[in-house]
Amino acid sequence: MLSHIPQAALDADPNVQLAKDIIGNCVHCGVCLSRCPTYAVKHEENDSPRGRIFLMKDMYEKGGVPDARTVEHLDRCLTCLACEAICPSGVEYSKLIAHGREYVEEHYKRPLFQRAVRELLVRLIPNARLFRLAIFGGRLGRPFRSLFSGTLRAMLDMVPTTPLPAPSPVDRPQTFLPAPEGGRAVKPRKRVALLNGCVQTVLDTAINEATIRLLQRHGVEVVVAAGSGCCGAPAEHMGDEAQALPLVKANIDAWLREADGPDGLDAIVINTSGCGTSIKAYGHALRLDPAWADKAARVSAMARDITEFMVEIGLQKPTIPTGLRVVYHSACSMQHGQRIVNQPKDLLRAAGFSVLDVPEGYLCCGSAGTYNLLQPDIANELKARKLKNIRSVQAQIAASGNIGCMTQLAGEVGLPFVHTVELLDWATGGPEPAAIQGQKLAAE
Amino acid sequence: MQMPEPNQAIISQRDALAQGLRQIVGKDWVISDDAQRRPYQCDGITAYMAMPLLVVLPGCAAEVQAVLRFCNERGVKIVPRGSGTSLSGGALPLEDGVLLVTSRLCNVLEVDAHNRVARVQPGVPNIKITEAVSHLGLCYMPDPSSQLISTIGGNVAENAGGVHCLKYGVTANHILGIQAVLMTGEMVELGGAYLGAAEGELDLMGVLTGSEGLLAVVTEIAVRLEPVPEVARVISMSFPSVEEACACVGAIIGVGVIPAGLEFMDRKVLDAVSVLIKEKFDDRTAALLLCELDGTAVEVDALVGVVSDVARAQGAIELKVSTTEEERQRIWSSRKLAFSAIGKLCPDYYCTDGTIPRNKLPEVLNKMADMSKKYGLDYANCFHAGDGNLHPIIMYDAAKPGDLEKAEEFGADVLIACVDAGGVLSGEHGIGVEKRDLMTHQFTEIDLQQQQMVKCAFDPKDLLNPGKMFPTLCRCAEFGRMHVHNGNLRFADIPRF
Amino acid sequence: MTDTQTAASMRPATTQDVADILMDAAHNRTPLVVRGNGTRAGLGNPVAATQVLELGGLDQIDFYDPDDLVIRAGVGVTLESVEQILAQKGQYLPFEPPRYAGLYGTDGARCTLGGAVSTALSGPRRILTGAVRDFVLGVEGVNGQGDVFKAGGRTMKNVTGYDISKLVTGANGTLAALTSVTIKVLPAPRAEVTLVLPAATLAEDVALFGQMRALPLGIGGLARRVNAAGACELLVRVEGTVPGVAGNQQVLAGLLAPRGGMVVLEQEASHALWAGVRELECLNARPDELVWRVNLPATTMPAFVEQARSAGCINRFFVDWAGGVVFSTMRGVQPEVDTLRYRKMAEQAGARATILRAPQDVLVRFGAFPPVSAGVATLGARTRAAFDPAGILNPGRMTVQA
Ligand SMILES: Cc1cc2nc3c(=O)[nH]c(=O)nc-3n(C[C@H](O)[C@H](O)[C@H](O)COP(=O)(O)OP(=O)(O)OC[C@H]3O[C@@H](n4cnc5c(N)ncnc54)[C@H](O)[C@@H]3O)c2cc1C
Ligand SMILES: Cc1cc2nc3c(=O)[nH]c(=O)nc-3n(C[C@H](O)[C@H](O)[C@H](O)COP(=O)(O)OP(=O)(O)OC[C@H]3O[C@@H](n4cnc5c(N)ncnc54)[C@H](O)[C@@H]3O)c2cc1C
Ligand code: SF4
Ligand code: SF4
Repeated sequence: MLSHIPQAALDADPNVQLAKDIIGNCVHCGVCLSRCPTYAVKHEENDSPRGRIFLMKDMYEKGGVPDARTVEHLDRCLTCLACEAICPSGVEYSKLIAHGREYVEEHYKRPLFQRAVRELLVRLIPNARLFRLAIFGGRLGRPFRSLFSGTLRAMLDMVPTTPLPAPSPVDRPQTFLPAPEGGRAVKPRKRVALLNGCVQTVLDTAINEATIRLLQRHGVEVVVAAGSGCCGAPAEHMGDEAQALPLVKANIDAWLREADGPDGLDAIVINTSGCGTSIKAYGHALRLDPAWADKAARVSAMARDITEFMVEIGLQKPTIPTGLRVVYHSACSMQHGQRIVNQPKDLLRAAGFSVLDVPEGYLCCGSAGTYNLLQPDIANELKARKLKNIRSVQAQIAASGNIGCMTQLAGEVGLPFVHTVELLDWATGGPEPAAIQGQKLAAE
Repeated sequence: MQMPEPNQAIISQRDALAQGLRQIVGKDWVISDDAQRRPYQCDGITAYMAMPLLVVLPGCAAEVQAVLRFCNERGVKIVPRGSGTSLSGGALPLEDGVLLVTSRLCNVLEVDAHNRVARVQPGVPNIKITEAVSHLGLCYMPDPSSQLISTIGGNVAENAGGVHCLKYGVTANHILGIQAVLMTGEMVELGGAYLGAAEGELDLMGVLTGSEGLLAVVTEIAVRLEPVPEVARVISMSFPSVEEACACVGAIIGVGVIPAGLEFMDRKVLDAVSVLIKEKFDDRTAALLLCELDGTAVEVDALVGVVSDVARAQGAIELKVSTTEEERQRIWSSRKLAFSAIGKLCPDYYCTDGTIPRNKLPEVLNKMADMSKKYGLDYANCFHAGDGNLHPIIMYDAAKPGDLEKAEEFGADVLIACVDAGGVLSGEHGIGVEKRDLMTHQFTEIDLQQQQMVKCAFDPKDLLNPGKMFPTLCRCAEFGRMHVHNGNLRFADIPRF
Repeated sequence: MTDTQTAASMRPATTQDVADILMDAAHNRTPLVVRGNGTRAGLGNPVAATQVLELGGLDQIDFYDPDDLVIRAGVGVTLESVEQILAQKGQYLPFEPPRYAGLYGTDGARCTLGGAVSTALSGPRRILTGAVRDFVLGVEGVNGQGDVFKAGGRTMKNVTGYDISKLVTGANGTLAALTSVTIKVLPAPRAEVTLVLPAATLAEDVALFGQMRALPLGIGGLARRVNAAGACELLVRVEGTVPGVAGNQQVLAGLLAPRGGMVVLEQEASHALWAGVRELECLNARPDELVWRVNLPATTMPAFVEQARSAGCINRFFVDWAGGVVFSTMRGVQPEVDTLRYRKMAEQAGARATILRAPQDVLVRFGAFPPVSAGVATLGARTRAAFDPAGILNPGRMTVQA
């Protein structure tokens, strides 16, 4: 699509030039509408990828302060990237919306209340301790939730009612050696760094524990690199580059220290697909920063989702025959962001599960990072739709590779909801996942 | 391309009209502010844009009726829109017209497996029908490449085709009943949910299909469902020359085989695609045919044998036959990626849609090569060979002054060549605004007048999607009165836009 | 007053002649009976005209391009000769046009291609290949003002202007005097067999039809009739390639085995059987009986037939299109009373009941074609006026004055 962005704007900001090029690739064919969750809910061009591309084209063409409606429609985008994954013309929507949001944050003054909520979230989520405190605070606030509406209420609702697990010992910086065989230590086949994501460390410590066991059992040495932490995605989703960049750079430093150290690093393994998408995009995020561009690109190239990595090294034969019907929910960051579609399902099948797909599986569950906090109405509708679709296939267990979706759905799906690695770990010799223990699973 | 002069008096009433329409469809479903109307400025052709007066999204057929009645009474034009994927500018808005969008009317209302029909709302994307019935072993056959998102209402309006319509027919052959609202707000039910439901009436449903939103707004459709063929296999056939590939098309049909699909790709397309699919095509290949055969396993095996023999006899240098569903998908992926692959070769492309008798393929393809030289624009060919439906892809750069105009002229020359070869201007994309001014090349003044008289019967005030399909506006009153004999040009004085 | 007792008959040989005749007629507002060779004059309402425009003389083949699956011919060419020409290249008219000559006591060999298009009568194969309307690619005709127009074209796909070819198909000559038609043809199936098996109750048989129709087996005919021996039987026609038919026949034989008593008819025997079905022979319509066609959803058919039989509106009947059409006879004892009741029943069942043959007074009073809603009637009238403002082409053929 031809755009008429003023030359001065193009010259001033390489991101605007990039936006122009991306917009230029869009032929307005509309194919992306078929996958867009906000279009599925709103049925309106302005809430579709093609519409948002148009809105951004307009925003750059006009320059200056974007209008409130444009901002609203851009805000509603879940950054699920379903549109990018399906686009036949290879339009890089993710980059367009990321820079579009930066532009909005730079030029648009949000109403006071919106600003406060956003700042709170940006600060809280990357910091595990603060988030933990906030959740406790939230729990105290819960009885008063009827006093709140909209976003604040959604924040309170997201607070788990069950006790939070104690901080896990595995989340401290350290190294885990491969599981010994016949009592003897084995030489590691591979050495990987594990990202111990921020939200995940608070909400469900068992996932990292299962990941480490699974890797150890497959002869892999795992390090939790000192200095690594939140991937920076939550801040970036809200267009807050200033908050995100220090986190990104800290991670790059921490991992490259390991990679360039004596033992080297074969991969950075990530078990939260949301974080995986963002780490794989470090290279792009820092491409214009000469001091960081190469380093960031190296890190991105080493990043692997745990299921990608397990397919590469091959899964051991299952030790217990489960045969359970598992409905696999693919997170957006998994299927669209990283285009990882078959690996998790293939692994689950190899581990002896019978795998079912979710109807309309391409639709986001509404979790999308901080989205359920900022756009509770759309998030709730998507959630209800996802729950209905998951329930429709009559599975015994639900699995996913992203903590965000799990928190969004677990409480209401009516099935034990576990992380893919927990099932892989269990089937190859690990403990039965806590969510399944003692549960009466739906009949065969 | 010129559109009728917008009526400023109507434009000046925008706010009042918006208010009135909000009372019908609810406040959220009338879009009036600038920023939000902009994304509706074009359909699948971005070369033509216009700001709609208002955008209205009704939530049920009764609201469609009320909106039309409201607009009819005030002399406000209506442009219906589905998903806006039209490639002829059929859903191009009018500055003094309300854009009526069907995207909220997106429910499959009823599936009747026994009688093999489904009743659906017009905004249902084509693919959703098949998704809704696939558990019954059924499908909705017409499969435009845009089927993920183009709506069934838009398909009816454009009489959409697809890869499989060679064997199974186009949209018109799969519609049993239509509920539609005339510009006056009056609703008509045509046909019904069974074969022969339209017996004994004039086939008004037939003329509504393919009428590009000029006759009525379709609010419900009863479609035929078909059993999903047991197996499908595709043969990829390489030819050392375009002529041999074209001859093979006729030869396959000549031996009595109607493939499910028969597609043509020239070398330029193959080179572009091979980058994306990371596969190389034999150097000697000048053109590739993809021939899909479906039916029961035994039947398909037999047909694969017959077609392979024909292809070899016609000079094919390489044949690849899919043996698994995965292989079939892989072979098709080159065709599916063709347009995006070409998109990577040039800033912009323009694709037209002329259709010719199959045996005229070599002749028209040769002419295209000459035109390419004349205009200095590159082109590639990837099309529905089995139907003779050409889709020349003309490459240009919209940012270069004059390039778009050259591309349009090139496209027009191709279409004229199609008509001269006994073909038609459009096989599946419709006339819209894009081919509108070429209609006089295919039809005489009388032919066109007869068509416009039909328009007058449905929409005497010419308020539904005017400025599309015909190079002149309808003058219903004059048509009724005047009579000039023997093909003398009737309304020589009617201004063209 | 009717088209059979004609005062003057014109039989032009060229399109220009037709145009001249119509221009004159328009000028003088002379209503005309438009027909091919008049073999199916009994179909539809009597036309209030004394002059006949007979188009059987336009009987040239303009071209036949077998590799392109298309034939264009004058409307007067007979179905028989078209079918012969196509058969020489192994092709056929997929919509299997019935002649109904037996019904009207005329000469089936003189039925014209134009008549087939104008009446839009489709045979038993409709459930597989489609109806007449699905195969008319283009037309040339003369409207009620004497203007020669063409619409459509000769290509398989075409969205260039309104699909007027569809509009004139089945218009029974009320929009235009067609002069030539362009028809899509198909390769005739190489193999054809018919499985004949004993019928059960209508409801059971319709359920079985439904089961068969859900399978992609190339079933080009599903009917239920009483045979010459008075036994009621189901007919299942399978068509396609030789190996395909053999395979599909086996699958069907398995499905139908529980019924027992299956007989298989091959090629010519099968052709002959279906020609009889197409011509409604199994109805054995007696000269004093009315003949009806009712289109309806197959699932509602059994109840409808039961009701109509017990009400005496159906005397004999048979079922085609997998249960989607019922052909029946009606005793000619009190035709007006029964017609009214039968139409009412059909209306309540959401069905469309067409009279294929009846005494003139019944047709004049009730109309051969089922009534349509007021909205559709108005739109139809306006559409007719768009072609024939003076109302000279077969006036009243399809509609009765309220
Ligand atoms: C990538 C791509 C591939 C395509 N491939 C094919 C193909 O293979 N075959 C093919 O035939 N076409 C194809 N098309 C063209 C296009 O998808 C079809 O014409 C489609 O039918 C348009 O549907 P829509 O819902 O987008 O309608 P729109 O573009 O919104 O509207 C198209 C026309 O229909 C009218 N209309 C829409 N809804 C209604 C209604 N309810 N009542 C009355 N009028 C209505 C509009 O006024 C307009 O004139 C393709 C387009 C794209 C972008
Ligand atoms: C299970 C079942 C299913 C039936 N299905 C049908 C059906 O599908 N269609 C139907 O019309 N009736 C059907 N009948 C009814 C039965 O066939 C009637 O008894 C018959 O039609 C009687 O017609 P009649 O009284 O006019 O002829 P009769 O005077 O009883 O019969 C005289 C002779 O006419 C011939 N004849 C009668 N009807 C036909 C016919 N339709 N076609 C050819 N020759 C005929 C026969 O050779 C018979 O010997 C069914 C009955 C049963 C029990
Ligand atoms: S699918 Fe891609 S090219 Fe098509 S409209 Fe969406 S972004 Fe643009
Ligand atoms: S990222 Fe998701 S929500 Fe945003 S436009 Fe694309 S598909 Fe829609």
